[in-house]
Amino acid sequence: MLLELLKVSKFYGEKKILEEISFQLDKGECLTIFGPNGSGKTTLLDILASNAAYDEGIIKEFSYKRPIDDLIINPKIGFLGHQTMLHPALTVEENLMFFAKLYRVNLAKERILQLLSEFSLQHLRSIKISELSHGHQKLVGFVRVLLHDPELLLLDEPETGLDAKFLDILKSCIKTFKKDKTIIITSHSFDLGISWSDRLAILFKGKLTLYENSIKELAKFKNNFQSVFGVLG
Amino acid sequence: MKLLYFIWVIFKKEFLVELHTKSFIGLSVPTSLILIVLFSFLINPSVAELNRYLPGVIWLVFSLSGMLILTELFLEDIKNAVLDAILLSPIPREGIYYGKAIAFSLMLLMLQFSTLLIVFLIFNINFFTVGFIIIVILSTFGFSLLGTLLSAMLSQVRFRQILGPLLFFPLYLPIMISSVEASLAYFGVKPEFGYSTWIFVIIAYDVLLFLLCPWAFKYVVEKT
Repeated sequence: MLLELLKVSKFYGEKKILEEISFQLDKGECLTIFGPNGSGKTTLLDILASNAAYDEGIIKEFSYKRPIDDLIINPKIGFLGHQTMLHPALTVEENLMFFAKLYRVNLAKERILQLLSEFSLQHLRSIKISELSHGHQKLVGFVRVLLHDPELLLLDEPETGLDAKFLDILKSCIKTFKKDKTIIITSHSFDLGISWSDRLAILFKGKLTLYENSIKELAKFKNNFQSVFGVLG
Repeated sequence: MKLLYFIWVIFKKEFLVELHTKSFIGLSVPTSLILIVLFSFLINPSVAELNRYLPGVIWLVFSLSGMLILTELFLEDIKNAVLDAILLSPIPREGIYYGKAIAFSLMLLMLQFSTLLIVFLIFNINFFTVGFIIIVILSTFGFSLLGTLLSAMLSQVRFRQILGPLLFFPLYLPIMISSVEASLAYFGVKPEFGYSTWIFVIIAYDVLLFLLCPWAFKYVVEKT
């Protein structure tokens, strides 16, 4: 099993943000977590990325049991947060080269060019991040996450602010990378989540309910989704 | 070697950002020029007064100009959560700290050499001497070591422009006083206090900061 969570909890003071979260993911699986704002989705991804500590439970990543109080960074993980995580003053290529060096990527320049061409972004190489549209910034952010070829991808609401054209690019990329990577995505979009996931989950009031993306479980998932969000988002 | 590699990566990135934004040079060099020119016009010092007060004025100008940029040192990295992305990469925290501190040191040194050039042009006093340059380099190193840590601490705090100097100067005071005293001793204004004694004080404080600040930095940037 590539990722295993057993009764993982997180507190902010007295408040329980995540309550006994348990799930397992294997290589090639994609899980989308839905939940209203403030339900703890970003906190969960932060914990998985070693960007935040957890308080109770067990997390096993790549068969390694992560200690509760130690934020050990695992280079096999790629994390894309709400923001693009790119330096606004630097160009696309300078940003990607900087992160490639941080991850000690072999043949960094070739890798950058290859990924930029996969995303049809070669023409933006020498443009500053601050001068790009939000959609392009998001895609370059996605390239940054893939630079070191991570095995586990954590994407926090990657669809936010993207128009139909960029959503199509994102969807096809996720489907491509799903083949040899494990992906966890948080999202508000019901249709997108259904389209790219093998498994679905709803995080509500700190508790996670899991569903298979199958005809049998989809009705149950829809009902729960509607009761949490009111509508199918 | 691994740590040196990461220091170099961060150092290079800092200079690249400065090359694009020119936020440091654009803000601090004109400020130091204005302060020196104002001192010259308002005080109109005699030769004796210049000898007595100029070293102190120079350190004041260095500190104020450096202070302008100090609180902003991590702001660019906080934009778009770049610092989070750096922290999620397999870089030792000391690598981020030392890389930034060394880059900040070199930028400050550029500022100081341009200030000394302005002083030379206005007052015709040459501060480009080995003894004085040693004081400048050592005190600048201390300034950036302490400044990088405080900048990280204050990067997400409101009123950091006010809090910055309030926290920074009490901690930097030993280096500032030693630098002024060493300068006065070097130029023979206060020869009774040894130049080498003050240099030793600055080096000792620098070593302390060099060891303690990266350790504290790890806790400053760590999320809970």
